[in-house]
Amino acid sequence: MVGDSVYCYGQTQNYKNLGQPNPNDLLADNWLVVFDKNGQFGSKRLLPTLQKSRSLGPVTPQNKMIKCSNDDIIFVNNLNRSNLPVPPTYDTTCVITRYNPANGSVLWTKYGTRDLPEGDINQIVELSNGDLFVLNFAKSKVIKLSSSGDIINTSDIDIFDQDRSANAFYDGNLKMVGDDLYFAGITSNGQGFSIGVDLSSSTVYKGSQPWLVKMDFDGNVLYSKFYDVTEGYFNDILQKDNGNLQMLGAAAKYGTSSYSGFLMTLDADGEIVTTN
Amino acid sequence: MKRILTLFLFLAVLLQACRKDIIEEDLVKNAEGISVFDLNARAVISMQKIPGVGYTVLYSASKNFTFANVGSALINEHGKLISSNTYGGSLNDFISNYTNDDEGNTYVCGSTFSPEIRINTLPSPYNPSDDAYLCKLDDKGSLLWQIGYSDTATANFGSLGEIFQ
Repeated sequence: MVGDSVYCYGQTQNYKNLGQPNPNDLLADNWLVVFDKNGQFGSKRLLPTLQKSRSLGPVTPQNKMIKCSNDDIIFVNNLNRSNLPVPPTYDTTCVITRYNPANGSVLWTKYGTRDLPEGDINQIVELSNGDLFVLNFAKSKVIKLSSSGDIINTSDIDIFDQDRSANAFYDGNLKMVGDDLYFAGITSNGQGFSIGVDLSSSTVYKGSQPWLVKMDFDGNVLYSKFYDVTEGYFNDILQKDNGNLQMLGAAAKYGTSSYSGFLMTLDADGEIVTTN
Repeated sequence: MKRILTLFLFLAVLLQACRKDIIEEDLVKNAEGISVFDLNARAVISMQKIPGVGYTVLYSASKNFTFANVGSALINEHGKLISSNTYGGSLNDFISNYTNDDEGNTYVCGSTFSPEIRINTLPSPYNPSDDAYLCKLDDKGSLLWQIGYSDTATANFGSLGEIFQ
């Protein structure tokens, strides 16, 4: 039962049940794994999207899972082009699946290029009315979907225009804060070109800055601001009781590959508040 | 000659110290509006408000600049570090994601390479290099439990990527 359990989106390199004894075969399956709150394993279920992925090809590790307000789960995978219903012109495109964990049914599946604009999906949130707000950084697109997966509208968002290979926005955070929608992340030069921080290595990218974007629900940018923390980034955002924003970020430590944390308080216009 | 070498060494140390001051000052130019708390972090992940205390900060900790651990820090509302702890095992433990419950606990998922946490002991190729990892921290960031997970009967779990409760 949602609320009494911890749900995890697990990925396997599955040699046995796919009959793939070759350790270099990187076919992957994704699973919903359930634990209780004491860490005891409860159950696991092979996700429907990933059953299809056996023929669709390997699943890239950039996956997202969100829980909706009605307890449905939405999975986002960015799949390689082979055997997709309509192959994308580039390597990968997105597949979004809405899933009912109570009975295991797939409510709907939408494929990039066929049902949705082509390209990977980097961020997705559910809005308060149940609509889904999706960011595709590589294509500089905002896509708004109904709860049933139908496109309500799409729009271009210039500030995310960038080289596709630099799509390291997974470490940023698209988040509803109060009634407003923010992206808190990182940029390299204040021109909208993005780079990221690789969690799996100690790489520190030079010249990055924390970046905050406030958007409306149609993807219009209300403001886009950068802050003077060299080699730093935002990763979380909370709203204070007085309406100000409390930003959590990290700044590179001189002479190391490590970061320190920092807190920054911003007003509703994104300006730094110098007294807490 | 010895004096020259000593002088050169002194100047080198002085230059390095000055450079460090300049660069550290440059890291946070608007120090008045930013509170920095010292961590050895690979990445800062999230924060959770603790009323009356401040925030718990979840981070991926750098261990000896070689391995990663799960890190949890407690800071006050002005960003002053109160305490920090790291969890995991002797090798890499990577954070993928987290969720908070209504009681302020934090569940962290990811992958572990640490042999004292892993449970998969099958030989290759049925044993990937890592197991899935799950831990629970209380509202002060203290570790309640941590587990490795791998279902060797049907699948090899190498990681848990997303989590909610």
